[in-house]
Parts: sequence; C-alpha cells; structure tokens
Amino acid sequence: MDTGFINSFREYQKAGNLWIDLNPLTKLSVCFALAFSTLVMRDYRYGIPLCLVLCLVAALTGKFKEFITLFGRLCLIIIIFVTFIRQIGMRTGNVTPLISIFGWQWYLESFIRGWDTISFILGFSGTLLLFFTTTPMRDLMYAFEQKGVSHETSFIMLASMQNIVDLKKASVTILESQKSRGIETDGNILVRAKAFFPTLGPLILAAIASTEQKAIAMDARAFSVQRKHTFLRELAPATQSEKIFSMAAWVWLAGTIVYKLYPFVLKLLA
Amino acid sequence: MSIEINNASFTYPNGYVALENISVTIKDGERVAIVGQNGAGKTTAVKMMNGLNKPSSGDVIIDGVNTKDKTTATIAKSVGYVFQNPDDQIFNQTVRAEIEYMPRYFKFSEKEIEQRVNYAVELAGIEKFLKINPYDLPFPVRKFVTIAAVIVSKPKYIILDEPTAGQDKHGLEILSKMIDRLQKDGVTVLTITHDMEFAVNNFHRIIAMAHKNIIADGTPQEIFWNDKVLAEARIKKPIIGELAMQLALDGNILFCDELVAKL
Amino acid sequence: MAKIELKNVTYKYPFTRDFALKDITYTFNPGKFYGIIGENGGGKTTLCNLIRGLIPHFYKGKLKGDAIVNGIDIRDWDLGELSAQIGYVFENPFTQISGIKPTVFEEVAMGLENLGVPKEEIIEKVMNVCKLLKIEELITNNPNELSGGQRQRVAFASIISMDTEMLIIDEPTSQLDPEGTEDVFEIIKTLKRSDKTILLVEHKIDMIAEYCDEIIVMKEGGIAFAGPTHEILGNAQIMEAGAMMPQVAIFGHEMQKAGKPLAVIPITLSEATAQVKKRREDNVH
Repeated sequence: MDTGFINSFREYQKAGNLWIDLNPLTKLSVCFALAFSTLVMRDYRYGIPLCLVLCLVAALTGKFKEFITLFGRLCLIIIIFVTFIRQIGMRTGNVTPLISIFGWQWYLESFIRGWDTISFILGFSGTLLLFFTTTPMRDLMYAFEQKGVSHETSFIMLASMQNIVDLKKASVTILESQKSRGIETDGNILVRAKAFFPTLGPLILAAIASTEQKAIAMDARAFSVQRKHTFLRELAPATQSEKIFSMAAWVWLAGTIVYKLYPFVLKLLA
Repeated sequence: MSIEINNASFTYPNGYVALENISVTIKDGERVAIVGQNGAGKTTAVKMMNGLNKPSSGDVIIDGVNTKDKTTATIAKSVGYVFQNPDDQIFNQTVRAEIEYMPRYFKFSEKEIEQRVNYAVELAGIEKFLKINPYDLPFPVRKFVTIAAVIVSKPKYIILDEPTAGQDKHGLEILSKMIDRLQKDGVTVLTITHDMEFAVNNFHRIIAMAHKNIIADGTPQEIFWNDKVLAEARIKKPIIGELAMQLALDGNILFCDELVAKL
Repeated sequence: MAKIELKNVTYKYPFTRDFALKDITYTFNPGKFYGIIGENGGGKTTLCNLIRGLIPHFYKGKLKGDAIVNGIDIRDWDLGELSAQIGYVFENPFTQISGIKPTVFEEVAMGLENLGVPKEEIIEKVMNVCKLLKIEELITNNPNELSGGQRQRVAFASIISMDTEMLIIDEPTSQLDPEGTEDVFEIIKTLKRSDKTILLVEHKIDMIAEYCDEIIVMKEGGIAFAGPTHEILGNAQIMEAGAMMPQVAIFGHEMQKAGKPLAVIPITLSEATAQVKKRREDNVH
C-alpha cells in the first residue's frame, strides 16, 4: 500500500507551494480585495499590470495552462466586444480621430476609455478565476465547514459538480440509444431539435432516480448521524502572517478608494 | 442475408483501442450469444453491427450494405439494439406511448401500429402494464418495455445487451419464449450475456471474446468444454457441465437430461 | 448483537394500492446468514428497506405491526444512529459512490468520518478493510473512474469499514460481469467468517446455496417458505412460488423421476458430486 499517501492524512495537506497552501479563506479574502480594487481604479494603467501579475502567480503555482486557456479566451472576447461597444456613442467633444473603417470614424479617446473598462472587467474576473483555478472546490468547502457551514450544503455543492460530469456521460449514451431506435440525430437543425426532445426525459428522470438512490447510499454511510465529524483530510488553519497578508490586501483596497476619492474630496472642500 | 464484420478495428475518440481486427459472420435465423469479461469488446462489437460504431478500419456489411454509407437511424431499422440500461431509453409517460413511439415516428397506419404494438407487448409479456408510467415499474420490467420498444419496429436482427440482469424465474421464462418466437418469425437474435445457463439453454452458437478479439466461435459444447477458452475469456462452465466433468463423464454434457440419461 | 423481530408487519408505499408487505412475522437471530429469494415484486427489497429503517423514516406510507431492532421499535430509531448498526449495500455500483471524494481511500473513510471516529483509528480501519477486500492497489484511484465491479468492491469496503453488527446486501451482483460477481462472492465468503448477521437478496441461487444458513422465500409481500437452506432449496415447491432452484437440485429431482434417486437432493456442486459418487459405489456393491 502507498504509505506516503496514507501518511499524508496524518498531517496538514501541503502542496508545497506558497500560494496554493494558503488557507482557502485567506486566498478568497485577498482575491476579493484585489478584484474590488480594479473596480475602484477603473484604469488600464492599474488593471493591465494586475492581469500580468495574475498570470505570473498562475505560472508560479504550476496552473498557468489551466488559467490561461480560460483567461485567454475571456480576454479575447472582452477586448473585441468592449472595443466595438466603446466606439459607439463617442462622437462629440474633444476627440482625436484615429482611423476610418468604411466611413466609421474611430477615436483615440474611445480606445483609452475602452481599455479602462477592459482592464477592470479582466482584472476583476481574472482574480476570481485565479482563485478558482488554484483552490480545489473541496478545500474551499472544507474551510467553509470549519466556519460552520453545514455538512449537507458542502455535500450538495461538491456532488453537483460530479453530477454535471455524470450527466454529460449519460447524455451520450441516451443519444445513442435513441439513434438505435431509428430516431435520426444527424442532419439539419430541425432533425437535431426533434432528436433532442427524447433525450431530455431519460436525462432528467435518471438524475432524479439516482438522487434518491444516492440519498439512501449516503445515509448508509451515517451521513445523517448527529455527531461531531472527523476530517480525514485537514488543511492548515490560517497563520498569523496569512492574516496580516489578507489584511494588507484590504488596506490596499482602502488605499485605492482614498486615492480615487481624494481629488473629489479636495474639490468638495474648495 | 447476413451481418458481416470483415477485419474491423475500433478505436474510441480518446484513443482507446476497443477491438482489433475482428471478423465474424452472423447468418439469418441464427441465435448467437456473445460471452466474455467486461472490457473484452462485446458491446463495442455489437454497436458496430447496428452502426453506432463505425469501424476505424475494415468493414461491417449488413445485408450487402456497408454501414459506413448509412446513418445509424437507418441501419437501426434492420438491426435493433436493446441497451443494457433501460433508463437510457425510456422517455414517454406510459408504457403504451413508449412502445408506440417508433411506429408513430415512421407514420405507420393506425391499424399497423395496433398490430405491431400487440405483437411486441405479447412477446415481452407486459400486457398488464400498458397504462402504467414506465418509471413506476421495477427495473427488470422496464427492461422488457425497452425490448418491446425495439421489437415493435420489426427489425431483422435483434441484439439484447444483458437481458437477464435482475430477472427472476418468470422473467427468464418470458425471455426464452420470446427468443423462440422471434426465431420462428424469422428474426436473428443476438445477445451479450454473463449468464452462462441462459446462454447454453437458449443459443446455438457462442462467441467468446477476450482482449479485444474473438477467441472462439462454436457450439455451446465446443466452447464450454474447452478449458483454454474458458480460462482466457474468464467464463465458467455451466454447473451441470461442471458436475459432469467432476464425475469424469465424457460426451461434453451441458444439460440436465443428458446427464440423467448418462448415469 | 443485532437481533431483529418482526411481528405482523404490514406495509404499503405511499400512493400505491397494494400492500408491499403482508403480515410478516419472523425473527432474525444474531450471527446468522440469511438468504432472501423469490419473484420480483415479492417484497424482498421492501423487507430490506424496513429493517434498514428507510421504512418508515425515508419512505412514509402505512406501517402496521412491530419491527424491533435490538430491542427498540424501528419507529423510535434515529435513522443516522441505525446506520451505525446496520450496513447496507445495494445493486447499483454507480450511485453508491459519493462522488465527492477524489480517492478510494477517502471514499472508504467517509462513513467513519461521519461517525466521528478519531483519525488514527480511521486510517487503521480503512487500511485493514482495503487489504481484506483486495483494493490496496486502488486506494489512490479516483472512485468515479473505476469499473462497475471495482466500484462495487469500494462500496462494500465503505460499508464494512463501519463495522456494523448487521449487513443488508441487496442484489449486489446484478449489474456485474462474472469476474465482478466472483469478487463480490469472495467478499461474502470473507464476511461469513465474521460473526455478523447478514441478509442477502440474490437471484444467483447457486451462490445462495453455497453460503446461507437460512432461506426466506418471498411471494406477493408475504413469506412463502422459510427454514434451513437445505430444506428449502431442495423443495421443488419453491419453484411454484416463483423462486429459482439450484441446477443441481433440479438434477436431483430429475434423477428421482428417472428412477435413479440420490440419497438426498443436493443443493451445491460438491454435494451433487458426492451424492452421485456414493450412488455409483452403492450400485457396485
């Protein structure tokens, strides 16, 4: 038997990486503070460097590929979408014409304002994305359970993620079984739509039936017993320095707010 | 007329090779049981026969037509396949609606529908459940509902995937009668089964599969009295055969009456 | 020790017309191995649900009569506490896996975690069970990616690790291939050596004949036959009640009809072999 693996349960789970091994709640707190700071700043000179930092952290945790495939796609969509949207309605005032595409005039200002928007959307979603790619769901649930979230809630959250995987597998089989009954599933959109309906019933019913069985199976594992649970797999509680780190992130957020409000307050006073 | 598999291999999209170069011919009117361990390739092989799996190399020819040239739905009209799990298939509110679905989909006349449904329901022994919601029926009965829903389209070939799972004595009797009747009506019946008693009692030809290939193909006597095949396919001799072997009787005995006569 | 007494138990599931259990009186004694057989819809699983406490705690419906587990009426048991007394394994290898544990080791430990067993003890127990059920090689695997037979072994391990006095096992092999079935019966053989009370529902009658001490034949919600394994499985009348008979017992009856009776109707292969050999020797003398 794999004794190294078994022994790993005898101590706190460690991945050997500074960021990943932070308590999930510390990570969550830091990420939220950073995410909100981009919202406050709404400035590409703040948001873009932050995105680069996020990529760097992802790289240092060995999750770069996972992070960048999602984040890259997000970047592409947001950049294109916002750039186009920002060109609309920017026609008057002190503007610098840039280029004209088929009679559509593009302005420098709209690009800058576009990038401000882009940077805060990407900064905000990127930080949260970094959190979820570097924090396994069960670690997060473990931390929540430690803070008093119920065992049931945690189970439902985790089990529904597995359910999605299972349903995907089931839908393939169901589609095959309908094909075998002579229901045409390949062809134009109408044919496909017609084939789609017969797959829904079994999918939903299978989900319901398996939920009942799962409830019974979990009950057999003493799920509903009213006793204090043991956690085989434990995470280290947040250390003092982690708490300071998390606090620092919130001070940083407060700093950005002050920075933004300062000129406004001055104006008000004057 | 026949199902012919010629040097066919099958690789799943994820790269898993499930069958390597298999060749087999199923002739009209035969009764064939396919046996072997899970993962041997049984289900992959039968899914090639009804076009759900198109061979990665080699050919599958059904009544002279290559499955590569047809959609699964078209092939399914002549080769019916009843899935292992009935819950993958059932989606109507009553047993009758479930069984009528196919003939209605193909817009048969009311009279024709009535006739087909009656035939299928009789064979599957589910006359008394027609008005019931299939999901209120126990698993083994649901299985018969899905069998009827395939019989109703009157395919020339019917493939039953593990029909005996969870069946009681009564269920097994219905299955035996159904197979007899189907053969009488000119249908070729194939089954995948883990139940060796069921295989010897109802099928004349046994195909043993192991490691992605067919390792033996013959009469029940040829398969179940070949220890090398049994070991390789990881299947067991039916218990009467086992008894005959322990008593050192010759004659490749598999059935109770043979054994009684011999003693 | 787990003792279960049923007195005139009648039960009807909600929204159904017919009774699923009809006037059942029976006592399950500690340490014995019971086989429950009979036609589908005869009430086998309902009986399991009752003893396990799912009736009346999970399935409401109408319950009459007394069902007493270890001296306490089933209605007064807390379902969670009862799960620490009675283990339950059923046919579907897929729904019995929690889906939330990334390794087999953690899956097997889940019941013990819920019971609040100290960590060191959990590790010991899980290691022992994994050895006993020969899944040591699988402990780091993801349970969601195992084959049906492997999952069923994990499901058994998960329940056995909880070390309940009684085990209810409902058609554990109906969705498994012959090898998976062999594995499960290997587990059942191991369990037979323990002093647990075991209830096994199974259609594979040859397996029942091999392992059970007592047989209960159920038909239409009632007990049609009950008694020692040999007596029940050798009795051709159980076939009329919709139950299966071992192949070798049918052979025994056929021999009798052919005027070549064996001394006793055999129910297992080894008995049949011995009986026929004995008959041959007797004929020689």
